[in-house]
Amino acid sequence: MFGWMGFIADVDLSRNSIAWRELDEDAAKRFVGGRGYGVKIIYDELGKGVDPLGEGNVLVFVTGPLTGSMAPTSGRYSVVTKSPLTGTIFDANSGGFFGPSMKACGLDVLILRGRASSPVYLHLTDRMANILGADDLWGKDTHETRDLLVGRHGAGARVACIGPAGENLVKMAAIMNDDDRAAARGGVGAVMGSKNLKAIVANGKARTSVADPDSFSFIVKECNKLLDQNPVTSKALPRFGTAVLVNVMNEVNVLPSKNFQRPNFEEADKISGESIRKRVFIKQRACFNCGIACGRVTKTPTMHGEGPEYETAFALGSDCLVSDLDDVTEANYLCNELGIDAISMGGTIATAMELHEKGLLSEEVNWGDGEKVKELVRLTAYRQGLGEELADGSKRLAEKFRSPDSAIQVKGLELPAYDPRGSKGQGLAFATSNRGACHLRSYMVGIEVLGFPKRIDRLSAINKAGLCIVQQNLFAAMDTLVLCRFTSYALDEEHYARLLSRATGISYRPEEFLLIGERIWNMERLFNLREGFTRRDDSLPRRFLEEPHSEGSTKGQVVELDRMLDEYYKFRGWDEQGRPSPTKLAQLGIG
Amino acid sequence: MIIMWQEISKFSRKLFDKGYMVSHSGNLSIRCGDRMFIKRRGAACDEIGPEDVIETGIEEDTSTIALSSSETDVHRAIYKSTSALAIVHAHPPYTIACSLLYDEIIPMDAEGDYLLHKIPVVVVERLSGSKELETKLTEALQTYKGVVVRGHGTFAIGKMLEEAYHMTCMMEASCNIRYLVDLTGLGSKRDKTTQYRDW
Repeated sequence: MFGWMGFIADVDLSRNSIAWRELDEDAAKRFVGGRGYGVKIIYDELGKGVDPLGEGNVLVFVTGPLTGSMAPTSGRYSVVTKSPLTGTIFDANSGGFFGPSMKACGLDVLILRGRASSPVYLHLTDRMANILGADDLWGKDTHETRDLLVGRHGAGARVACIGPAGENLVKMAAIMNDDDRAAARGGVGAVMGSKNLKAIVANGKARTSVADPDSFSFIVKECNKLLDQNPVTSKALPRFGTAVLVNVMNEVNVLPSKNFQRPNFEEADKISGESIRKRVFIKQRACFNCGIACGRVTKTPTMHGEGPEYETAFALGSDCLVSDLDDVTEANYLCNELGIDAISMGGTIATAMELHEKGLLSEEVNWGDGEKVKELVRLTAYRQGLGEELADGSKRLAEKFRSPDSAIQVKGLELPAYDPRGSKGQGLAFATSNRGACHLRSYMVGIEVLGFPKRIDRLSAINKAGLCIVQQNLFAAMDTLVLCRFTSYALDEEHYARLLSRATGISYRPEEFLLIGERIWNMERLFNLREGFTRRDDSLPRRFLEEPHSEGSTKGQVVELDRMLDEYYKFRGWDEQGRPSPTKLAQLGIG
Repeated sequence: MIIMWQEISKFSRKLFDKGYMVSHSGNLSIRCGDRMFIKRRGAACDEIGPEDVIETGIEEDTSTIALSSSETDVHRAIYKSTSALAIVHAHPPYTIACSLLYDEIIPMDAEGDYLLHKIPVVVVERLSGSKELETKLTEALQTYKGVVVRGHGTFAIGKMLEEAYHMTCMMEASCNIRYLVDLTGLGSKRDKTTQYRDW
C-alpha cells in the first residue's frame, strides 16, 4: 500500500496483550484514515449503551495516508471514541509531531481497549509496542510527563499523554502531545485515563511512501503556492495567531461575552491577537510541515507556555468577562499543563458565574475574576471543591442547579467562540454537529463573516442548509487525511482529492472525496441514533432561539433553527426526525 | 468611513463597467494619514457596500488583514515608498496583453506619451502578494504613476482615486492603440520609443 503503512496495533490493556494485523484495504479505501477509519471501528465495535469511561469503550488513534508526507500540515492525528461528555461518537484531532512519529512506527491505527490494572504507558517503535509501568508518571502534569518520557526514550521520542484531569476522569480532559498541542474536546483524555493509560511514546523510523512522487510533489507545490498567497494563511494567522479573530468577530457582534448574554466584549482589544503580539508574544510555533505557524509561544511575568488561541481568549476571557491578558494566558497554560479542553473549561466556568449571579450557586464566582478562573481550572483537574461540580461540564452543572438554560452547549459540548445570532448558518452547524457544538464540523462563519470563498448574508436563515452540508462532508473527508482545517481557507476538495490520489495510487475524484465525508457523517449519525439521540438533540440553547440581541448590527436577531433544520434533513436525504433513509444508506454503502 | 466606502464603490463600479476589473478581482485603496481603506478580499467589484471596505494601518498591522484584499501588503508598501494617497489595481485586458508582448510599453498616442511617457512592465515569479512584487512595484511607481505586472494587472497611483482611475484608463487606452497599430504590422509614423525609454 502507498500512503498507508498497512498495519493496525490492537492493544488490550486488560489482558496486557498486543496484536498486530493488516489494515483492511477495502475499509481504508472507503474511510481512508483519521476520523473516517476511526469512526468505522467505533461504529462496528461498540454496542448500544457502552459506558464511555468503562472497560467496554474503545479509544482509537489514527493517522492518514498523507500523515508524515510532504503535504502541507500533514502532522496531525485523530482520536476517536465514545465521549463521556456528550455520549456521542467523538473524534478529536491534534497537530504537532506525534502523528508522523506514531505512523513512523509502522502503523496507521492504534486501538486501545480494556483497562490496565495499574497505570501504564505504551511505547511504540518500529512495528513494536510495549506496555510499560507508569506508576512514577501518574499525577504528573503533561509537561513533566513529556519531559520524563523523552528523557527516558531519547530526544526523537514524541509523547501524547494525559494530565491530572484525564487521570481524574474529568469529562473535558484532553490528550496533549508535543508542546501544548491538544486533542482537546469531548473528554478523550478521560477515556484514556479510564484505561489507566498515562501516555503513548512513539519513535519510529519508517517513512510514508507515496505512489507517484513527482506528481505528488507538483500538487504539494501548487497547494503551498495557494497557501502562501492566501491572506489568512500567509498573513493573518502567522502574524497574530488564531486570536486574529478577536477584534474581527467583536466588530460584527459574533464574539460572545458573559456566557453568551452579550454579542461583544467592550475590552476585547485587551485580549486580541494584536495585544497578544505586543504584550506576551515570544515567537511563533509551527506543527510538522506547516508554513502557517499559528502557534504562539508566550510569557507572562510569572509563567511561560503557549497560547492563548482565539478560542481560549474567548472561553477564559470574554465569556467570563476577564480582560486581563496575563490571567487569560495563565489560565490557558494551566489547561495545557493539567490536560483540559479550554473551551469546555471556560464555558463551564461562565455557566458557574451565571448561576452565582442568579443566586443559585452560593460560592463566589464573579464575572471578570481572572484569579478565580485560574483557581477553578486547578480545582477541576483534581475534582476538588467546586471543581468536582465543574468537572462534568456545563450541562450537568446547570441541570444540578436547576437552570439548564445557563449551560451554553449542544449535546453536552460547550459552544466555541461564535454567537450564532450573528451567523445563522453557524447556528445550524452547531445544532446538527454529530459531536455537539463545534466550529470544526462546519465553519459557516468562514463564509458568512470572513467571506471564504464568498460572503453571504450572515443574518439570513435562507439557503444555509445546502452550504452547511457540503462543508460538513468536506471537513469530514479532510479529517480522513488529518490535515489542518486552516488549509481549507486556500484549498478545496479538488486539491485534497488530488493529494490523496497521488499519495495512494487510488483515483479519487473530488465528488468521490466528498462522498467519503458524507459516508462518515451518516455513520456518525447512525451511531448517535442508536444511542438514543433524536431531532430534539439537534437544537441550540434557548438563548439563541428566543433572546434577541439588543444592540448593534445583530439587534433583534435570533436563530430561526426549525426552518433551517427541516431543509437540512430534507437535503441530507433524512426523514423529518433526522433518520437517514434506506436509499441514502444504500447509496453510501453503510447501515 | 461612509465617504471612503462610497468612493471605493464608485470607482470600483466604473472599472467593472469598463471591463478593467472582472467579477471579484482587483482592488482599490485610499490612504488617510497612517490608516488606509481597502476593498475587502473576495467582494464583488460591482457591489461594494459599507462592509466591503476594510480599515487597516499603513505601518501598524491589525487583525483586519484577515478580511482585506490579498494585495494589502503591496498597497502598504506603495504608500510607504511613494507620495500616493490612492491606488487602483485593475486587470485591463489590452494592458495585460501588451505586458506579455513587450518588456516595456511606450505609448504611441499623444495623450499616452504626455501623461504616461512609459508603462514599465514588472516581471515577478509570484504574481500576487509577494515581497518581490512589493519591491519591484514600489521601485517602478517611484518614477511612474502607472505600472503593469506582466500577465497580472496594473497598479496606478494618485492623490485621489479619480487620478489613479484616470491613469488606469490611460494605460489601457494607450495599450489598445499600441496593440492595434502593431497588429497592422505597418509600424507607427509617431514613435516615442527612444525618447521615453529612459524617462
